[in-house]
Amino acid sequence: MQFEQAQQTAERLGVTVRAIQKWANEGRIPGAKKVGREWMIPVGLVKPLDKVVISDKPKKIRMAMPLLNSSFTPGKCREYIDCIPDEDDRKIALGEYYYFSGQAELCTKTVEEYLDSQDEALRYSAALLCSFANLSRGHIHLARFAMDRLKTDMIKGLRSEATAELHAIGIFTATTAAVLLHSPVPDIPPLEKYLKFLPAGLKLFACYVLAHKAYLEKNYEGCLAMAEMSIDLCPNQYPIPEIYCRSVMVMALTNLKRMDEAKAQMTELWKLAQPDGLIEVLGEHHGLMQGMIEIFFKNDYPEEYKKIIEIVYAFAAGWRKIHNPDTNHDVADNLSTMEFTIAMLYSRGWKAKEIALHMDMSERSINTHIQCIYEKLQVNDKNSLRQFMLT
Amino acid sequence: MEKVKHKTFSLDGDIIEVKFRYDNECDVWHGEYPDFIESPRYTPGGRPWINVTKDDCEYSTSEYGDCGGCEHLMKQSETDLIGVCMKDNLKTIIANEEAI
Repeated sequence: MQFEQAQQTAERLGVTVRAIQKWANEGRIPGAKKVGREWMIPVGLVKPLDKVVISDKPKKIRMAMPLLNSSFTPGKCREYIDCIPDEDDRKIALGEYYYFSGQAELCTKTVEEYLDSQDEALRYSAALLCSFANLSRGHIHLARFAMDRLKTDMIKGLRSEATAELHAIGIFTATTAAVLLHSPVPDIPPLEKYLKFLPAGLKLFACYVLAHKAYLEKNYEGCLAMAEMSIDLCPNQYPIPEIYCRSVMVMALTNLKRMDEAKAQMTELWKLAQPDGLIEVLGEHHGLMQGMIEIFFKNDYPEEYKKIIEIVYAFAAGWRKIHNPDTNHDVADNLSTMEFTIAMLYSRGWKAKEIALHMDMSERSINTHIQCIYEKLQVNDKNSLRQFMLT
Repeated sequence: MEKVKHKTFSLDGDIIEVKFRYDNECDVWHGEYPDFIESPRYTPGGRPWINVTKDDCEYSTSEYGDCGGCEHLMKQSETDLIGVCMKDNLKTIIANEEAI
């Protein structure tokens, strides 16, 4: 190895001799050696190593999705957010509020600056929120970008020396995006193994994600048990995760044709969601709730019903674009929400008579609607209809 | 002005004419099909006319419980929403029930 004097290194790098000596004393110049009172620096040094700060305080792990993880009192969500001491957490929580109350554009505007944050939890939160919010906004390339960031970051994080808690957050956010958007779950450890590392609120939401996965696998009894038990075992009430758990219970009960119980769960869900206007969940799950939203909201909560339907249209349009990017067959967008609900039920094996009873309509009307649906989708049997629906 | 057209369905010696109205908003023609569940109709050969949305029967080959997916349903063209059931067992049963 060849060496030069500190003076030569300083001139070459455009810094003072004092700076070179300081770096060498701090051990930030690999290979530097002291000869007498002078430092000899290896030729070719470009810059010193980064300064290492040794602290005896353990590094505080920031939690992703602070609002999802909070047990705020229903009706006092905005007050809770305003009192969050950390500014970044407060902004992410505000973004979450905007998303869960159906204000997708405000959500992305609030959180997208965190997509490049140095803090993993902020980055994960922003990526998860942007994946879903951009779907509703129809900005599919931005939704895909956020989802890819989530997966890449999470995989990179798993290879690092990060703690189990941080790994858990990464796996939680990546699995959530994959399951709820019906994408293949990336090749990562199963979320079930990392539940114990999540805080209570995120754990409850993770249980909703796993229950939703069971639902998609047509394990309706399992889905129901999982969601119900998760709520019962939770030490506190976490409104947003509980709203989602109850939504998947409504879906499972409707599939099991236990309609009175489904309505009871919808009532409990609405008690939690109504005070803060957290209606996004209803828009996202409209199709899978198979008419329960029409039955519950259309007559008794017409204003909310109108807002929910707007979310349904926006979310469903984005959903189709992300799942069928190359198809020209976008006529499914022409279905009204009523037709979509009937199509969902019919494609899941419900008979016209059963749908008529469920929706409080005549069988003739239902048959007419189904014919109309067939014409709009250019199909002529149930099997072809199933391909258009969210199954 | 509303766009209207008529289409003739001719199967097993029987002819049905259906009126279609054009839905401008959805760019789709909607047919005013007879409801054969409410008002059954048979061909001269004794075979029943069927709406594809009708629930299937014990002789069905449909995987999803609809006459539209059954191989016994004969249609004039693939995209039609009505047809005639060619299952001999069914022809006998229904025609006799109606006679009673």
